[in-house]
Amino acid sequence: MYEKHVRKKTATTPRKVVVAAFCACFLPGCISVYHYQPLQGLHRSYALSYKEANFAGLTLNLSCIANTFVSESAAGVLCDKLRTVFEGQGAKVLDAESGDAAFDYGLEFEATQTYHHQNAWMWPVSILLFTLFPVEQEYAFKQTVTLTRGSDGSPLRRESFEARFLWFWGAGYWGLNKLFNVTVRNDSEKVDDASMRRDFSRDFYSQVSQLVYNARTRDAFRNAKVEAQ
Amino acid sequence: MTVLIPLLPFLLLFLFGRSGDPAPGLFTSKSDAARYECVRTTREAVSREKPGALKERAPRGDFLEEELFRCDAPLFARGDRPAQGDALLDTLSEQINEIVAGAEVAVPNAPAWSALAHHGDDVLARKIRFALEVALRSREKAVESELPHLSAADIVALSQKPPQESYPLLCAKLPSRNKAWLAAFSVDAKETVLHAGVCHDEVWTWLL
Amino acid sequence: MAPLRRLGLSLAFAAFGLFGSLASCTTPRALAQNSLDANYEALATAESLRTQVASQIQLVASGLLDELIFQWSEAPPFEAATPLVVGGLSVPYGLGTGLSSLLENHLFTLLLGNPRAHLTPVHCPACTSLFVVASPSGTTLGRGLETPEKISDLAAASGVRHALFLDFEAEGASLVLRAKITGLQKGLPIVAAKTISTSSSSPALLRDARPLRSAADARKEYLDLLAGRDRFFFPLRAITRIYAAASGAATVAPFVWFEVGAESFFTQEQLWGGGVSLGITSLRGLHEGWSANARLMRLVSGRTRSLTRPDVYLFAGGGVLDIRGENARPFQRSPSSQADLVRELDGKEPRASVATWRLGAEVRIKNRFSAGLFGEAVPSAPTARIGSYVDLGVLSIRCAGLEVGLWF
Repeated sequence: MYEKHVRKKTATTPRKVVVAAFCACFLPGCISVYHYQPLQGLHRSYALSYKEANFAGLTLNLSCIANTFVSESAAGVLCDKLRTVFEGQGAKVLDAESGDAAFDYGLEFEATQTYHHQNAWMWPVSILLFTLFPVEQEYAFKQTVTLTRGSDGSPLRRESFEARFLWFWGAGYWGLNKLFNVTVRNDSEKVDDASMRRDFSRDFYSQVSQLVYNARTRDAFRNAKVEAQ
Repeated sequence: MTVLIPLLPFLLLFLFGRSGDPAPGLFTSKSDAARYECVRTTREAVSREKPGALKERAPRGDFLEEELFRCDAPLFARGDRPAQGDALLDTLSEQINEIVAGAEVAVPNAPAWSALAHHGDDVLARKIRFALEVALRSREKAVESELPHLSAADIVALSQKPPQESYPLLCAKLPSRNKAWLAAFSVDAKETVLHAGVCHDEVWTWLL
Repeated sequence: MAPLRRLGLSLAFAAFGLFGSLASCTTPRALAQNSLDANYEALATAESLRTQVASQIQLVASGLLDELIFQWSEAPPFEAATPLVVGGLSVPYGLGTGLSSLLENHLFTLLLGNPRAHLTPVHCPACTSLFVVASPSGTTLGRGLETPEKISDLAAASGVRHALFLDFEAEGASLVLRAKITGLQKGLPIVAAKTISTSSSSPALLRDARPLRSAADARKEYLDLLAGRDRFFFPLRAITRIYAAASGAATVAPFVWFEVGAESFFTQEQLWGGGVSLGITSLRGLHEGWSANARLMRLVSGRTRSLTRPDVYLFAGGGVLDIRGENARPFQRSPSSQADLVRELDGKEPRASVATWRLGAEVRIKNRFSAGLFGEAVPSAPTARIGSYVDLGVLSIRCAGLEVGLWF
């Protein structure tokens, strides 16, 4: 008789970690990639930076309209962000507590969804294929910005900006994108959530700021015209 | 790992299907995608505009989803040339037409017209003036291309005042009895619109 | 964990750490040098971009010039031929003088080639030279054409009374041409002006400069060129057929055939086509023969015929060869048929008729010239004299052919 040394196999720690990580990847935001494509109005050149003090001495009133596409809370978030952008450029932005205070320009933002697409069959197929085949969702929206004169509410300018967003969820696409980011793309070309937000913010805030700036400089000569009369 | 290898063709098939998408992604860089201004379109619109450009779809369906975009590439993408000049020139025709239309209303019966332009960049100033002259002549106005003669002292004195004051003063020095002078200018390096005014009979009128 | 695996992982992490540290390790001097290199690189990239944009714009700008001169040919600004000087041509903001020189050359070609526009270009170097003119009212520095004091002198000296100015500008996706003709007299009155624009998505028409045609005619000519004006083509081919020799047998003499045929294409892009042809061959004392062939061909070098490169077609076809004479013997079936024996006894020359199947490729240049290679199967020919180059199982390639064609 001899003694057998039997090793008992138990679930090792690395395997538990891998399984947990795999399950965690099913959380939204994980292994997902956002793409942003400017469609209309967001390509134009602009001559100012929204990070400089362009609107010292200017008072603005912002209004973000909620509708079927944009909820009240989302509209509030948009207006908060725009407030930060304009206050960062030296403008004073009225809020709900300002009452009937005078302002130089009013900006009204209304967003409408122009396209939405998602295939429900992609989810089970993707999961069965270990997310190598990605789930895809696409939507496009148009943001209409109306600039009005504060003194009489007369409309000065209306511009529309349309953008398209694609969302891919899946380890295969996410991995390829990560590989491209590391190997092929330089810093300005990297595609990830942070760069998507940065690019869209840069385009949208720059265009809106330019719109207000042009109106302000035009008004400087309009006032001279009024004084001459 | 060996289980995943046979699944790779599905990913490749997906990627192949997306290769024509103008959005930035694996096949299109962000700078390339930013060059195109795209509008979603339909098969019918494309067939009307460019017959034969699209392959016919199988009459019983082909299990493919299709998205069509009509994309135009500006001749200069953002960043290819100085931003303020680029933004100004992108809408030059529109602005010139607006200025000339306003001038026609302000001074309907001027016997002759001349154009002036000012911009920090001489090249842009010449182009703006050229565009004003051609637009006026296209509206059957009698246009003269000669520049006014101003003394150096006058130019220095006028340049030291803000435009709101200097242009009305300039009007007093221009020979505007039988001629209207249409001026367009840009005074701020951050603006992308032109200001304009017209001088006739020594009276300056702001248009924009 | 196995020791080897542990070691491998450690090495991998060490290598990663080393790589990471190397990537982030920079000295101030290295940083400065990197910054300088980055500036040079940025300048070089910008220059390269400008060159690319200029090349793209040149064709479109030339098309706009064509349209301008064509419109003035249809409605001339002057009643009679009028000398004028080209006072200036400016290119889109951001581009340089190289493009303006190319466009000026094209403009002169158009003006010289289209006398109906009544615009005769005149060489006037003084018109564009800088002058300094001192007068009681002040000193003026400017080009001859822009200096009122000099204009009358220039006009008297050169005989020119008008100047043409052009300006190109890129406005979004459109290229806009503005043109004005000014009189060289006091006030510089503008006698004619035009604005023409085109989108970057419209292809350049590439019109022939002398004389210009309308855009609609040019487009029709362009489409005709792509589609080919003719429905049918008539090729004349010289074909050399070289037969494989069977092992142990004498080589079969090559046959030179001349074929004339008719071909047509089934699609606008000329992707698919077909044709029939009749051929003859003759070598005094050795053979005479005729053939009838048909072929089907498919373009493989692109989605449509090219205007600038040769096109490659693959073809497949079949035919019948009928040969008389001594050289027909290798094609006769063995043992000879009764009819063949009777022919020999009667003193008539040998004769054979065989069917052939052909597969090949040909290179065509604009439906004017072609050269091709093919392999041919001759299933009914006996194997005693004619061997096989390649046996594909279903078909045995027993003949290699070379063909050269001229088209009418």
